[in-house]
Amino acid sequence: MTEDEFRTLYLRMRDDVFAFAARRLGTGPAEDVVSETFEVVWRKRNVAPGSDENWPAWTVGVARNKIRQEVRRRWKHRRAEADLDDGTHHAHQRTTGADAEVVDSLVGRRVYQRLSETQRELFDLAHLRGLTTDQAASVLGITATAYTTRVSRLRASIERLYKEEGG
Amino acid sequence: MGDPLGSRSGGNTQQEETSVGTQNTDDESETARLQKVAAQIGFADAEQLVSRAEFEDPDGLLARLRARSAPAVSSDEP
Repeated sequence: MTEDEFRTLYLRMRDDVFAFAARRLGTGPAEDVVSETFEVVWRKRNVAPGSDENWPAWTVGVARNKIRQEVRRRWKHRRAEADLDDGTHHAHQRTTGADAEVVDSLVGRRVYQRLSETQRELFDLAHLRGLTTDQAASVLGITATAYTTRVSRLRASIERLYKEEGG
Repeated sequence: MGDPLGSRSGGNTQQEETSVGTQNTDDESETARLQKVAAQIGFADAEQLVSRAEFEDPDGLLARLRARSAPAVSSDEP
């Protein structure tokens, strides 16, 4: 990957990486994820996938790892807090504190909090504009058909949860 | 009560799972359907999120990364 190619990849994918991270972590930390992701891309540019068609998905994969690390760090922190607090906050362990920034309705927020970790990741991935279905599927290491099936199931789950929450 | 999400509720999920993903247009529309549902229950779209971002300019980023990857020069070197 040349410097020009890196610059082009950065300009093409930084919005997506930011939005991907902002949904999970909030907008402030998302800027750090963008920066750290492209530092890794630059450092590993000599072992990037051979075809430049695969670079966007590879970049999102790097961002995904960064986000997972931060989510794990926050969960550990919250678990430690909840343990000190008699476990009363256990019901909110899956939240990362970014919900209010990405969902502007209370019902929507409750729906998001009820999604599993895997569902949230798929939800966020399905909102990326710079990836085709095939590329998004490759981030998860599954086929495009399996990816589409999961997206369809997720939508059905969200619709069900929305009704359960009184929406 | 109406269906505020405009979903295809009551449909056969299994049938749906086997009917999607066979063509790219179906794949894309399945993603679009999820995005539409998300927007209807209040999720910010990408434009709203990105409007809050302050990105590093690509030349500045490259300069910083080049500087970081440059070998450190020891003052002890001849």
